[in-house]
Amino acid sequence: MTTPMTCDQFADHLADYLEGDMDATTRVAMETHASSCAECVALLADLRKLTLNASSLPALSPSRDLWAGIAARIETPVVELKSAGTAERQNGNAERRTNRTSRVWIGLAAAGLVAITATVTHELTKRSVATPAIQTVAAAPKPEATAAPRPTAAAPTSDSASSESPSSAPSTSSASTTRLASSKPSAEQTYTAEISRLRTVLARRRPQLDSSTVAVVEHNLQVIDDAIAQCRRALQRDPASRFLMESLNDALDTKVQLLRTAATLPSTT
Amino acid sequence: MVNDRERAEELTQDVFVRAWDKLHLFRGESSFSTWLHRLTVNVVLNARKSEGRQRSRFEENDEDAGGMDALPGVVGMPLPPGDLLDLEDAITRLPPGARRVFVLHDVEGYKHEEIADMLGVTSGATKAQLHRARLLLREALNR
Repeated sequence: MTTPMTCDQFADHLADYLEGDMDATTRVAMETHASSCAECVALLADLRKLTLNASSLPALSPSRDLWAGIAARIETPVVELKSAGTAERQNGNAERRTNRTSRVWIGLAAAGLVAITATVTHELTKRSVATPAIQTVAAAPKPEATAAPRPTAAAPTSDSASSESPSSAPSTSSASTTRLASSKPSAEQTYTAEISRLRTVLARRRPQLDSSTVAVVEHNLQVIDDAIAQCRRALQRDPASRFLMESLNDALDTKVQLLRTAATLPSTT
Repeated sequence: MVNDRERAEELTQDVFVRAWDKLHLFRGESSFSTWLHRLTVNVVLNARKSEGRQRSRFEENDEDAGGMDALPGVVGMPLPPGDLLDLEDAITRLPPGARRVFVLHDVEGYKHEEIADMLGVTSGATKAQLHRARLLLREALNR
Protein backbone atom coordinates (compact mmCIF):
# COMPACT_ATOMS: atom_id res chain seq x y z
CA MET A 1 0.00 0.00 0.00
CA THR A 2 1.50 3.28 -1.08
CA THR A 3 1.42 6.51 0.90
CA PRO A 4 -1.56 8.71 -0.01
CA MET A 5 -0.69 11.66 -2.25
CA THR A 6 -0.63 15.15 -0.75
CA CYS A 7 -2.05 18.28 -2.37
CA ASP A 8 1.46 19.51 -3.20
CA GLN A 9 2.31 16.23 -4.88
CA PHE A 10 -0.98 16.39 -6.75
CA ALA A 11 -0.13 19.87 -8.00
CA ASP A 12 3.35 18.77 -9.00
CA HIS A 13 1.98 15.99 -11.18
CA LEU A 14 -1.02 17.85 -12.49
CA ALA A 15 0.54 19.03 -15.76
CA ASP A 16 1.64 15.53 -16.68
CA TYR A 17 -1.74 14.16 -15.65
CA LEU A 18 -3.57 16.54 -17.95
CA GLU A 19 -1.17 15.66 -20.76
CA GLY A 20 -1.76 11.98 -20.21
CA ASP A 21 1.95 11.63 -19.74
CA MET A 22 2.00 9.52 -16.61
CA ASP A 23 2.43 5.95 -15.46
CA ALA A 24 -0.60 4.01 -14.24
CA THR A 25 0.46 3.94 -10.59
CA THR A 26 0.79 7.69 -10.30
CA ARG A 27 -2.44 8.19 -12.20
CA VAL A 28 -4.32 6.02 -9.76
CA ALA A 29 -2.77 7.92 -6.85
CA MET A 30 -3.83 11.23 -8.43
CA GLU A 31 -7.37 10.08 -8.95
CA THR A 32 -7.56 8.66 -5.46
CA HIS A 33 -6.43 11.97 -4.02
CA ALA A 34 -8.82 13.96 -6.20
CA SER A 35 -11.74 11.84 -5.04
CA SER A 36 -11.12 12.84 -1.45
CA CYS A 37 -9.93 16.46 -1.82
CA ALA A 38 -12.47 19.09 -2.82
CA GLU A 39 -9.82 21.69 -3.51
CA CYS A 40 -7.77 19.54 -5.86
CA VAL A 41 -10.77 18.14 -7.67
CA ALA A 42 -11.99 21.70 -8.24
CA LEU A 43 -8.59 22.65 -9.62
CA LEU A 44 -8.63 19.66 -11.94
CA ALA A 45 -12.14 20.44 -13.10
CA ASP A 46 -11.30 24.09 -13.73
CA LEU A 47 -8.25 23.28 -15.81
CA ARG A 48 -10.16 20.70 -17.84
CA LYS A 49 -12.93 23.18 -18.48
CA LEU A 50 -10.38 25.84 -19.40
CA THR A 51 -8.73 23.55 -21.94
CA LEU A 52 -12.08 22.63 -23.41
CA ASN A 53 -13.17 26.26 -23.67
CA ALA A 54 -9.90 27.31 -25.25
CA SER A 55 -10.20 24.71 -27.97
CA SER A 56 -13.66 25.97 -28.85
CA LEU A 57 -12.94 29.69 -28.94
CA PRO A 58 -14.58 31.24 -32.00
CA ALA A 59 -12.39 32.34 -34.87
CA LEU A 60 -11.73 36.08 -34.93
CA SER A 61 -12.66 38.15 -37.95
CA PRO A 62 -10.76 41.27 -38.98
CA SER A 63 -12.38 44.55 -38.06
CA ARG A 64 -11.77 45.90 -41.55
CA ASP A 65 -11.23 44.70 -45.08
CA LEU A 66 -7.59 43.64 -45.25
CA TRP A 67 -7.56 42.63 -48.88
CA ALA A 68 -6.89 46.06 -50.34
CA GLY A 69 -3.64 46.32 -48.41
CA ILE A 70 -2.64 42.79 -49.38
CA ALA A 71 -3.48 43.32 -53.04
CA ALA A 72 -1.51 46.54 -53.16
CA ARG A 73 1.56 44.72 -51.91
CA ILE A 74 1.38 41.66 -54.13
CA GLU A 75 0.09 43.27 -57.27
CA THR A 76 2.41 42.66 -60.20
CA PRO A 77 3.82 45.90 -61.55
CA VAL A 78 3.35 46.85 -65.20
CA VAL A 79 7.08 47.20 -65.73
CA GLU A 80 9.04 43.98 -65.84
CA LEU A 81 12.15 44.36 -63.77
CA LYS A 82 15.56 43.21 -64.87
CA SER A 83 16.58 41.45 -61.67
CA ALA A 84 14.28 39.15 -59.80
CA GLY A 85 15.33 39.10 -56.18
CA THR A 86 12.29 39.98 -54.20
CA ALA A 87 11.30 36.48 -53.23
CA GLU A 88 14.84 35.61 -52.33
CA ARG A 89 15.17 38.75 -50.27
CA GLN A 90 12.25 37.70 -48.14
CA ASN A 91 13.82 34.37 -47.23
CA GLY A 92 15.82 34.00 -44.08
CA ASN A 93 15.50 35.74 -40.80
CA ALA A 94 14.97 39.40 -40.08
CA GLU A 95 18.60 40.23 -39.55
CA ARG A 96 19.69 38.72 -42.80
CA ARG A 97 16.89 40.58 -44.51
CA THR A 98 17.93 43.86 -43.00
CA ASN A 99 21.54 43.39 -44.05
CA ARG A 100 20.59 42.35 -47.53
CA THR A 101 18.17 45.24 -47.86
CA SER A 102 20.89 47.64 -46.84
CA ARG A 103 23.07 46.23 -49.57
CA VAL A 104 20.24 46.74 -52.04
CA TRP A 105 19.98 50.39 -51.06
CA ILE A 106 23.69 50.82 -51.47
CA GLY A 107 23.54 49.09 -54.83
CA LEU A 108 20.70 51.23 -56.02
CA ALA A 109 22.42 54.36 -54.85
CA ALA A 110 25.53 53.24 -56.70
CA ALA A 111 23.45 52.62 -59.83
CA GLY A 112 22.05 56.13 -59.57
CA LEU A 113 25.48 57.61 -59.13
CA VAL A 114 26.80 55.62 -62.09
CA ALA A 115 23.98 57.00 -64.21
CA ILE A 116 24.80 60.54 -63.13
CA THR A 117 28.49 60.06 -63.73
CA ALA A 118 27.94 58.48 -67.11
CA THR A 119 25.61 61.24 -68.18
CA VAL A 120 27.95 64.00 -67.12
CA THR A 121 30.91 62.25 -68.71
CA HIS A 122 29.02 61.80 -71.89
CA GLU A 123 27.95 65.42 -71.93
CA LEU A 124 31.52 66.56 -71.40
CA THR A 125 32.97 64.32 -74.08
CA LYS A 126 30.34 64.07 -76.77
CA ARG A 127 31.12 67.41 -78.38
CA SER A 128 34.53 66.08 -79.40
CA VAL A 129 33.00 63.02 -81.01
CA ALA A 130 31.96 63.14 -84.65
CA THR A 131 28.27 62.95 -85.42
CA PRO A 132 28.52 59.67 -87.44
CA ALA A 133 29.88 57.93 -84.37
CA ILE A 134 26.73 58.75 -82.42
CA GLN A 135 24.62 57.50 -85.27
CA THR A 136 26.59 54.27 -85.29
CA VAL A 137 25.86 53.76 -81.61
CA ALA A 138 22.21 54.55 -82.15
CA ALA A 139 21.97 52.12 -85.04
CA ALA A 140 23.93 49.34 -83.40
CA PRO A 141 21.79 46.38 -82.33
CA LYS A 142 21.54 45.83 -78.62
CA PRO A 143 20.73 42.29 -77.56
CA GLU A 144 19.05 43.39 -74.31
CA ALA A 145 16.69 45.67 -76.20
CA THR A 146 15.28 42.73 -78.13
CA ALA A 147 15.46 40.16 -75.34
CA ALA A 148 13.87 42.09 -72.53
CA PRO A 149 10.22 43.15 -72.89
CA ARG A 150 10.83 46.54 -71.40
CA PRO A 151 8.62 49.52 -72.11
CA THR A 152 11.31 50.98 -74.36
CA ALA A 153 10.39 48.35 -76.88
CA ALA A 154 7.04 49.98 -77.58
CA ALA A 155 5.98 49.54 -81.17
CA PRO A 156 6.88 52.53 -83.30
CA THR A 157 4.35 54.26 -85.45
CA SER A 158 5.30 55.07 -88.98
CA ASP A 159 3.48 58.41 -88.88
CA SER A 160 5.50 59.80 -86.02
CA ALA A 161 8.69 58.27 -87.40
CA SER A 162 8.51 60.37 -90.51
CA SER A 163 7.53 63.59 -88.79
CA GLU A 164 10.10 63.41 -85.97
CA SER A 165 13.10 62.25 -87.97
CA PRO A 166 16.04 64.68 -87.65
CA SER A 167 16.60 66.30 -90.99
CA SER A 168 20.37 66.17 -90.66
CA ALA A 169 20.60 62.45 -90.03
CA PRO A 170 21.83 60.22 -92.84
CA SER A 171 19.19 58.04 -94.38
CA THR A 172 20.89 54.78 -93.33
CA SER A 173 20.53 55.47 -89.61
CA SER A 174 17.53 57.74 -89.45
CA ALA A 175 15.00 54.93 -89.19
CA SER A 176 16.45 53.36 -86.07
CA THR A 177 17.21 56.72 -84.52
CA THR A 178 13.68 57.91 -85.16
CA ARG A 179 12.23 54.68 -83.79
CA LEU A 180 14.03 55.22 -80.52
CA ALA A 181 12.97 58.84 -80.35
CA SER A 182 9.35 58.02 -81.03
CA SER A 183 9.25 55.22 -78.44
CA LYS A 184 10.48 57.45 -75.63
CA PRO A 185 7.18 59.10 -74.67
CA SER A 186 5.45 55.72 -74.45
CA ALA A 187 8.14 54.27 -72.20
CA GLU A 188 8.14 57.31 -69.99
CA GLN A 189 4.39 57.22 -69.70
CA THR A 190 4.55 53.61 -68.63
CA TYR A 191 7.25 54.31 -66.10
CA THR A 192 5.47 57.40 -64.85
CA ALA A 193 2.24 55.50 -64.31
CA GLU A 194 4.04 52.69 -62.50
CA ILE A 195 6.06 55.07 -60.37
CA SER A 196 2.91 56.96 -59.44
CA ARG A 197 1.16 53.76 -58.45
CA LEU A 198 4.09 52.54 -56.37
CA ARG A 199 4.44 55.96 -54.77
CA THR A 200 0.84 55.70 -53.65
CA VAL A 201 1.42 52.25 -52.17
CA LEU A 202 4.58 53.41 -50.43
CA ALA A 203 2.84 56.47 -49.00
CA ARG A 204 0.11 54.27 -47.61
CA ARG A 205 2.61 51.88 -46.04
CA ARG A 206 4.96 54.56 -44.75
CA PRO A 207 3.55 54.55 -41.18
CA GLN A 208 4.23 50.80 -40.97
CA LEU A 209 7.88 51.08 -42.01
CA ASP A 210 10.90 51.91 -39.97
CA SER A 211 11.64 55.63 -40.21
CA SER A 212 15.35 55.13 -40.90
CA THR A 213 14.48 52.75 -43.73
CA VAL A 214 12.10 55.32 -45.18
CA ALA A 215 14.85 57.94 -44.95
CA VAL A 216 17.25 55.71 -46.88
CA VAL A 217 14.61 55.07 -49.52
CA GLU A 218 13.87 58.76 -49.90
CA HIS A 219 17.55 59.62 -50.13
CA ASN A 220 18.13 57.05 -52.85
CA LEU A 221 15.04 58.17 -54.71
CA GLN A 222 16.46 61.67 -54.68
CA VAL A 223 19.75 60.42 -56.14
CA ILE A 224 17.88 58.60 -58.88
CA ASP A 225 15.63 61.59 -59.54
CA ASP A 226 18.72 63.75 -59.99
CA ALA A 227 20.03 61.25 -62.52
CA ILE A 228 16.69 61.25 -64.32
CA ALA A 229 16.63 65.05 -64.44
CA GLN A 230 20.16 65.19 -65.85
CA CYS A 231 19.31 62.62 -68.49
CA ARG A 232 16.25 64.60 -69.54
CA ARG A 233 18.19 67.84 -69.77
CA ALA A 234 20.86 66.14 -71.85
CA LEU A 235 18.22 64.58 -74.09
CA GLN A 236 16.75 67.98 -74.80
CA ARG A 237 20.10 68.98 -76.26
CA ASP A 238 20.74 65.63 -77.94
CA PRO A 239 17.39 63.89 -78.49
CA ALA A 240 18.84 61.25 -80.82
CA SER A 241 21.33 59.89 -78.33
CA ARG A 242 20.62 56.27 -77.69
CA PHE A 243 23.02 56.31 -74.79
CA LEU A 244 21.04 59.05 -73.07
CA MET A 245 17.76 57.30 -73.68
CA GLU A 246 19.12 54.09 -72.26
CA SER A 247 20.52 55.97 -69.30
CA LEU A 248 17.13 57.54 -68.72
CA ASN A 249 15.36 54.22 -68.99
CA ASP A 250 17.88 52.58 -66.69
CA ALA A 251 17.38 55.31 -64.12
CA LEU A 252 13.59 55.01 -64.39
CA ASP A 253 13.88 51.25 -64.14
CA THR A 254 16.06 51.58 -61.06
CA LYS A 255 13.51 53.90 -59.52
CA VAL A 256 10.68 51.45 -60.16
CA GLN A 257 12.72 48.63 -58.66
CA LEU A 258 13.54 50.64 -55.58
CA LEU A 259 9.91 51.66 -55.10
CA ARG A 260 8.75 48.13 -55.59
CA THR A 261 11.22 46.82 -53.05
CA ALA A 262 10.22 49.51 -50.58
CA ALA A 263 6.51 48.84 -51.12
CA THR A 264 6.94 45.17 -50.24
CA LEU A 265 9.12 45.62 -47.19
CA PRO A 266 7.72 43.90 -44.10
CA SER A 267 6.03 46.03 -41.51
CA THR A 268 7.78 47.04 -38.34
CA THR A 269 6.24 48.07 -35.06
CA MET B 1 -0.62 35.56 -30.09
CA VAL B 2 0.16 39.26 -30.35
CA ASN B 3 -2.28 40.72 -27.88
CA ASP B 4 -3.22 43.59 -30.17
CA ARG B 5 -6.02 43.45 -32.70
CA GLU B 6 -4.59 46.12 -34.97
CA ARG B 7 -1.21 44.42 -34.94
CA ALA B 8 -2.87 41.09 -35.63
CA GLU B 9 -4.53 42.56 -38.69
CA GLU B 10 -1.24 43.97 -39.94
CA LEU B 11 0.37 40.58 -39.47
CA THR B 12 -2.52 38.96 -41.30
CA GLN B 13 -1.64 41.10 -44.28
CA ASP B 14 2.03 40.20 -43.89
CA VAL B 15 1.06 36.52 -43.85
CA PHE B 16 -0.77 36.70 -47.15
CA VAL B 17 2.00 38.68 -48.81
CA ARG B 18 4.50 36.14 -47.52
CA ALA B 19 2.29 33.27 -48.67
CA TRP B 20 2.15 34.83 -52.12
CA ASP B 21 5.93 35.09 -52.24
CA LYS B 22 6.47 31.57 -50.91
CA LEU B 23 3.72 29.84 -52.83
CA HIS B 24 6.23 28.17 -55.13
CA LEU B 25 7.68 26.39 -52.08
CA PHE B 26 4.38 24.66 -51.29
CA ARG B 27 4.89 21.11 -52.52
CA GLY B 28 1.64 19.54 -51.45
CA GLU B 29 3.30 17.41 -48.79
CA SER B 30 0.71 18.67 -46.32
CA SER B 31 -2.66 20.29 -46.82
CA PHE B 32 -2.60 23.91 -47.90
CA SER B 33 -4.32 24.99 -44.70
CA THR B 34 -1.61 23.29 -42.63
CA TRP B 35 1.09 24.98 -44.69
CA LEU B 36 -0.61 28.36 -44.35
CA HIS B 37 -1.16 27.84 -40.64
CA ARG B 38 2.48 27.08 -40.04
CA LEU B 39 3.58 29.99 -42.18
CA THR B 40 1.28 32.22 -40.14
CA VAL B 41 2.81 31.07 -36.89
CA ASN B 42 6.30 31.65 -38.27
CA VAL B 43 5.43 35.17 -39.41
CA VAL B 44 3.99 36.00 -36.01
CA LEU B 45 6.90 34.50 -34.11
CA ASN B 46 9.44 36.28 -36.30
CA ALA B 47 7.60 39.54 -35.72
CA ARG B 48 7.64 38.84 -32.01
CA LYS B 49 11.37 38.19 -32.09
CA SER B 50 11.99 41.41 -33.95
CA GLU B 51 9.80 43.35 -31.56
CA GLY B 52 11.44 41.61 -28.62
CA ARG B 53 14.86 42.74 -29.74
CA GLN B 54 13.65 46.33 -29.96
CA ARG B 55 11.85 46.16 -26.63
CA SER B 56 14.74 44.54 -24.80
CA ARG B 57 16.85 47.63 -25.41
CA PHE B 58 14.59 49.57 -23.11
CA GLU B 59 13.02 47.18 -20.70
CA GLU B 60 13.62 43.83 -19.15
CA ASN B 61 12.03 40.98 -20.96
CA ASP B 62 9.82 38.68 -18.95
CA GLU B 63 10.28 35.79 -21.33
CA ASP B 64 12.92 34.13 -19.24
CA ALA B 65 11.19 34.50 -15.91
CA GLY B 66 10.96 31.11 -14.26
CA GLY B 67 8.08 30.53 -11.92
CA MET B 68 4.79 32.17 -11.26
CA ASP B 69 6.15 33.99 -8.26
CA ALA B 70 8.53 35.91 -10.46
CA LEU B 71 5.70 37.19 -12.59
CA PRO B 72 2.88 39.57 -11.96
CA GLY B 73 0.92 37.53 -14.47
CA VAL B 74 -2.70 38.40 -14.72
CA VAL B 75 -2.83 39.41 -11.09
CA GLY B 76 -0.64 42.41 -11.58
CA MET B 77 -2.30 43.56 -14.76
CA PRO B 78 -5.14 46.03 -14.95
CA LEU B 79 -8.57 44.51 -14.99
CA PRO B 80 -11.57 46.11 -16.59
CA PRO B 81 -14.33 47.22 -14.29
CA GLY B 82 -16.68 44.41 -13.48
CA ASP B 83 -16.37 40.90 -12.20
CA LEU B 84 -14.78 38.21 -14.23
CA LEU B 85 -12.72 38.35 -17.30
CA ASP B 86 -13.80 36.20 -20.15
CA LEU B 87 -11.33 33.75 -21.48
CA GLU B 88 -10.21 35.82 -24.46
CA ASP B 89 -9.50 38.85 -22.32
CA ALA B 90 -7.67 36.73 -19.81
CA ILE B 91 -5.49 35.21 -22.53
CA THR B 92 -4.46 38.65 -23.72
CA ARG B 93 -3.27 39.44 -20.21
CA LEU B 94 -1.00 36.45 -19.95
CA PRO B 95 2.75 36.98 -20.03
CA PRO B 96 3.94 36.66 -23.65
CA GLY B 97 5.77 33.35 -23.27
CA ALA B 98 2.88 31.63 -21.51
CA ARG B 99 0.33 33.16 -23.88
CA ARG B 100 2.18 31.97 -26.94
CA VAL B 101 2.37 28.37 -25.77
CA PHE B 102 -1.21 28.38 -24.48
CA VAL B 103 -2.59 29.68 -27.77
CA LEU B 104 -0.54 27.30 -29.86
CA HIS B 105 -1.41 24.27 -27.73
CA ASP B 106 -4.84 24.72 -26.24
CA VAL B 107 -6.38 27.03 -28.86
CA GLU B 108 -4.65 26.00 -32.07
CA GLY B 109 -4.02 22.37 -31.19
CA TYR B 110 -0.29 22.09 -31.84
CA LYS B 111 1.66 19.38 -30.02
CA HIS B 112 4.40 20.23 -27.57
CA GLU B 113 7.09 18.91 -29.90
CA GLU B 114 5.83 21.14 -32.71
CA ILE B 115 5.67 24.19 -30.47
CA ALA B 116 9.12 23.49 -29.10
CA ASP B 117 10.42 23.25 -32.65
CA MET B 118 8.78 26.53 -33.64
CA LEU B 119 9.96 28.39 -30.56
CA GLY B 120 13.40 26.84 -30.41
CA VAL B 121 12.97 25.52 -26.87
CA THR B 122 12.52 22.08 -25.33
CA SER B 123 9.14 20.40 -25.07
CA GLY B 124 9.69 20.34 -21.32
CA ALA B 125 9.81 24.12 -21.37
CA THR B 126 6.59 24.38 -23.37
CA LYS B 127 4.85 22.00 -20.96
CA ALA B 128 5.94 24.15 -18.04
CA GLN B 129 4.76 27.32 -19.81
CA LEU B 130 1.44 25.75 -20.66
CA HIS B 131 0.76 24.68 -17.10
CA ARG B 132 1.75 28.09 -15.85
CA ALA B 133 -0.59 29.72 -18.35
CA ARG B 134 -3.49 27.52 -17.31
CA LEU B 135 -2.98 28.27 -13.64
CA LEU B 136 -2.76 31.99 -14.30
CA LEU B 137 -5.91 31.88 -16.39
CA ARG B 138 -7.78 29.95 -13.72
CA GLU B 139 -6.73 32.52 -11.19
CA ALA B 140 -7.89 35.38 -13.39
CA LEU B 141 -11.18 33.79 -14.30
CA ASN B 142 -12.02 32.97 -10.69
CA ARG B 143 -11.31 36.38 -9.28
